[in-house]
Amino acid sequence: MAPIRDKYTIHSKAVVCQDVELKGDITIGSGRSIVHPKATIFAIAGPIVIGSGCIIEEGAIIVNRRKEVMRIGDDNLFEIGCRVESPTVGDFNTISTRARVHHTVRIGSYCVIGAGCLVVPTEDEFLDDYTVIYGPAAERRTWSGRGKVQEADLREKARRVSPRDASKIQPATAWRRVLASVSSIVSNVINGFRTADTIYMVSTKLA
Amino acid sequence: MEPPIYYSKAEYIETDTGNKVSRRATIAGPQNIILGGKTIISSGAIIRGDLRRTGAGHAVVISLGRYCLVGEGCVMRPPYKTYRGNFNYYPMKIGDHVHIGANTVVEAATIGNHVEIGKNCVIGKFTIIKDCARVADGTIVPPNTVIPALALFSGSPGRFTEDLPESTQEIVEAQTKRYYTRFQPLER
Repeated sequence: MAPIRDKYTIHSKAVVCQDVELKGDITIGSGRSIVHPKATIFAIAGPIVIGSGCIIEEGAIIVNRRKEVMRIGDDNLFEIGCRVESPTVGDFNTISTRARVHHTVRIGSYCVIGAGCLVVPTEDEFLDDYTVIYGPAAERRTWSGRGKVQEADLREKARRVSPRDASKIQPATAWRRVLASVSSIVSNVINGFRTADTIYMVSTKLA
Repeated sequence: MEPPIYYSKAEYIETDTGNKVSRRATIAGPQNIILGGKTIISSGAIIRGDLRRTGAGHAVVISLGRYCLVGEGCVMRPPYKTYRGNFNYYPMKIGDHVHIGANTVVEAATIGNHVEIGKNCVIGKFTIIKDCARVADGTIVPPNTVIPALALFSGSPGRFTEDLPESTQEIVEAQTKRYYTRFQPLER
């Protein structure tokens, strides 16, 4: 197999944290996407194109094993430790913590894959818009679309990135860092997450 | 007497309060993380102390008590929500004698004392776990769950399975202390 050639095209308003593993031909377009540390994006065979406003959390793995371009739409949320190999992902999907989606599945828009779900059909299939997959047996339902605006709003706020942050890429740094250096670098990159905003609630009654 | 669990001395940093933190763990924003002492953070763990509340001032994002264990490949991340239109991360508070198994994802708000969490669990956002509770291996606890004291939760979604004996506190305390003493450096 030919060696994988790295080619990253990342919009200047997207934030790619230190300690993210990128491999192959990867495009993150038109800004506002966030890739958290320890996420992995692997374009093994074909390239991966990610739209705007996606959040890719820690330990999430996005893999393209096919020759064709893997297209991920806008405003998708990939939570901690999920693994996605779908050749197409629409807009506004949520892949929850530890969910796995096989390369046989194409995901529409507004879908939710629940925490820990395995979506591994042997034959190719397309998940219609608003499909919700949940539970240990990966059962399905259709979402009525209620709370869509609220969810969009939450996500928009979650990724508020100040425009001064240019993308900083440092692929495959591995773990050769000492604690002290981590704090300075990582917090520099991630400072974009917090923008000054008045806080209504000062004390949390969590105790 | 169980045999010691050895780790290579070069891999772990030991603080003067007895915390042992792996160099292979990803600790973001350590100035916002409090470790109570004699706490072990294993390799591959990810702790996000940088995701803090907006606004000025010192903020504790994640606080761990004494004799805690954060297993290999664990992810600990403060939960977030919007409250009155403002997006915020909220602090995560973990008590003493808490063991968290390998590859577990924790986004809880509060975890009490003497809690055992198994491996490969997902603890959803804003979960509250009370004292002496236990979460079995592979449990998926949905967001906003409250796990009462002395309860064993298991399954997907995590449900109450059984009550734990009254002696749980002593058992877990002895066990976490024993684990800490067994966790010994290996000189090479």
